[in-house]
Amino acid sequence: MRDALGPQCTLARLGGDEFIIYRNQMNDPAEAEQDADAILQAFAQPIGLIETALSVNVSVGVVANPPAADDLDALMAKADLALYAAKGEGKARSQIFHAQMDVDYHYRQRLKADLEKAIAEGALTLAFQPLMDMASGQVVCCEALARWDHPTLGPISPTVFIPLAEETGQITDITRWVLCAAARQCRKWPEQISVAVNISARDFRGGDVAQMVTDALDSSGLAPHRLEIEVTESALIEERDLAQAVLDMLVERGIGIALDDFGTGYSSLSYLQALPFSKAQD
Amino acid sequence: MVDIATNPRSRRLLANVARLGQDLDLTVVAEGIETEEQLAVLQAHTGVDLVQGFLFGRPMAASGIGALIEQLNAAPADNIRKHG
Repeated sequence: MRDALGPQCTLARLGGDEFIIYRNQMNDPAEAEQDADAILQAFAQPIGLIETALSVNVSVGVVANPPAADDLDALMAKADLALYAAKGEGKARSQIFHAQMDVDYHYRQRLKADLEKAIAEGALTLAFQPLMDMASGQVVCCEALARWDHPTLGPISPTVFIPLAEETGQITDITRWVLCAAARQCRKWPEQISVAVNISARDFRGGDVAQMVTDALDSSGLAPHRLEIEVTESALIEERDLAQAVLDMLVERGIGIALDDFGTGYSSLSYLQALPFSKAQD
Repeated sequence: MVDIATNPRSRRLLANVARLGQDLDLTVVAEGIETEEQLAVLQAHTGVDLVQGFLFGRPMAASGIGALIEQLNAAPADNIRKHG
């Protein structure tokens, strides 16, 4: 890296695989971008090490033209947000910090805190969407979906709060609650109608899915065959071993397993063989 | 799903994905059905077992879903009219 940078740059290792470059005498933010490009370029080719070629991907976060009032901590926090954004865009990218990143970050932090509160206070609600049988025209199942109506911000889209909850691990508290509330609701419907609940990859990693399902069935008195678990392909790809054992156990109890988004994600068709699905949704 | 009513390639892809699922003894669900045209194509060209989408009902609160189930199941033939 030192070879790629000019004499006005000071290079230091922060720890682990993180490095800091401090650049003196910057006249134009474009110079910082040039430095970032030089770093990316330096790692574009595999690095030879003891007869092995190692491919290294580098992401760079840049703070250019910071306000004079920024101290070191503020600079580091901004560089970190820019780095996070660069990583989010894919491998081997650089990203310059801009004020919106700070706004987004604080908004997300606020939502996480408020979500924690909403879960604790039981403020989430459920919505249900029917699945119709093509042959009979009857409703045969309803999918249970978590909804969050924020006290001041209004309804927060599940596409916003579910990924946040997956990031923090709060998703498992949400899933546990959805399972129980959905099973309770399903008991009020006619016998032939079941209920479907989404399980996240994070649930397989952080939670005891089998126990959560058992608790929901026990507390509601719902027959196992009326509960269906929906998992996404990405959940299976991330947590295949953990998921397989749990799904096998659930199937043994008569619970249906649906593969969500079948054929729309990065389908590995071998999953259809290896895992115990009864349903594919596309 | 969005363009199955207008794009024959999308329709054939969907029909084959559905066929694959059924050959493996899976129940196949088509999500995101919004129009009568999409439903008609599904009926005429695919063996999809179940459908879900705004055409039948948006996600709704627990208080409303019971009534929707009752209403839909009172006249099932009207929900999935025979097309094609």
